[in-house]
This record gives sequence, C-alpha cells and structure tokens, in this order.
Amino acid sequence: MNAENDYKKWLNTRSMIRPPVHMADQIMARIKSSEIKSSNQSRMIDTYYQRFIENNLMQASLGLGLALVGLFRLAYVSSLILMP
Amino acid sequence: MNPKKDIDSITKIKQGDIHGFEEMVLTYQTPLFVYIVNIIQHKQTAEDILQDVFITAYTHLNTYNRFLGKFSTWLYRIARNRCLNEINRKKEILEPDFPELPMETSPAEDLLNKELFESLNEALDSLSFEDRSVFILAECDGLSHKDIARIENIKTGTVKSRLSRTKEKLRHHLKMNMGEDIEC
Repeated sequence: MNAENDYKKWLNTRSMIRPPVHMADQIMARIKSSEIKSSNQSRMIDTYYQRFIENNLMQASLGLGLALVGLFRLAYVSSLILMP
Repeated sequence: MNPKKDIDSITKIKQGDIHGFEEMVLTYQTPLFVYIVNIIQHKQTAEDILQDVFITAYTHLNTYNRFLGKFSTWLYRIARNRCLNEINRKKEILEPDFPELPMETSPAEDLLNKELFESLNEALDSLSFEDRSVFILAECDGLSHKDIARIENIKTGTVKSRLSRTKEKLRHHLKMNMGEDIEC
C-alpha cells in the first residue's frame, strides 16, 4: 500500500508540472507577428478557393448526372410511345 | 478538452479572429507541456517545443480534418512528432533538468521519496520512445486508450499491451532497486 502511494506521489510530481506563466503570451506574440499571420491567412485563402472549386465540381457533376438520367428516361418513354 | 468548443474556436480562427486561438493555447498549454517535458526531460527545450507545436498548429490549421479525430489528439500528434524529431536530432544526451515540486513531508521521508523517485525516473528513461509516450499520455495526461491509439497511430489493443508492459518494467525496476513491490 505504501509503495502504491509512493508510486502515485511520483506520478503526481510528473503530472503537476505547469508551463511558465508568460508562455501563452509568448506564443500569441509569435502568432501575431506579421510573418506567421500572413502565411496562415494565405493558406486559409488557398483552402477557401480549393474548397469552393471542390464543392462546385461536386454540384456540377451531380447536375450532369441527373440531366443524363432525365434524358435517358425521356428517350426511353418517347421510344415506348412512338413504337408501333 | 471540449471538442465542441474546439470546433467553435477553429471557426473563429478561420473567420480571422485570433482570440479563438488564444483560447486553445490556454486550454492545451498545460497538458501538452506535461507530455513534452516528461518526454524530453529538459524544461527549456520543452518550452521551445511547446511554442513550436502551437505555431505549427496555427499555420497548418487548414489541414486539420474534424472528421478524422479530435483537435486535441491532432495537437498531441504534432507534439509527439516534434519530440521524436528533437530526440533524433540531438544525439547528445541533455542534462536532465526536470522541475522539482516541493513535497509536504518530513526531511527523512523526503530523502526516501527522492531515492524512490530517482529510481522510477531512471526506469522511465530506460524505456523506448514509444513505450514512454504511451505511458505518459495514459498516466500523466490521463488520456483514454482510444485517444492514445489515434495519437500513436496504433490499435487500442497495442496501447493496452504497451501500457501493461511498461508498468511491469517499472514494477520490476523498483523491486530490483528498492525492494518494493507496487500495484500500478
């Protein structure tokens, strides 16, 4: 039991470590620096256009597919009506 | 760690609101630091890596896909890879600079604890990177086996077996050095 407590104490010493107080400020200062901010913004814009193209391509192919199915049905029905 | 809150913060960041990222830094800096400092065992290097992890996360946020896993596991994975790179890059062994916490015990107990803790630290150091990483994620950061499996890119069963093997090694090391048997 004592050894178990010691083991838990050891784990506590390992998990109770905290980063320095100013760490978050330092990270945010680096992120706010123009270089990182602009590189991130350009990546975001690239992704935005990439997603836009992907979404529209999907919609366009879906529309084309539906149109083809419609045409096929129309041709099939017309052929049935016109058949002697 | 709240996945819904993370998604809200990511949306904010994508809309150009940098405060969304500040929320993330405040949420994850402590658990990530615990992980990194326990892997690297050097406070200053761990601080540098922690900063790099957040910068990488910010600049590569567009590559995060929420359908492939939680944001927290994505961050841990960046940290894991960064630690592994650091270990491979720095072939020379860093002088251990592990922050010590004050103990509320008598000086005699302190001495005993110190000896025991040093022995356990030694045992942990002797583990492979993979075993140590799984152990720290589970025991120090308290992550679920499922999350650890995602971070380590292994199966949940492998996480369980690695964890039990590591605990067995620690138990054996302690028994050999201190004559104590632990139930961990």
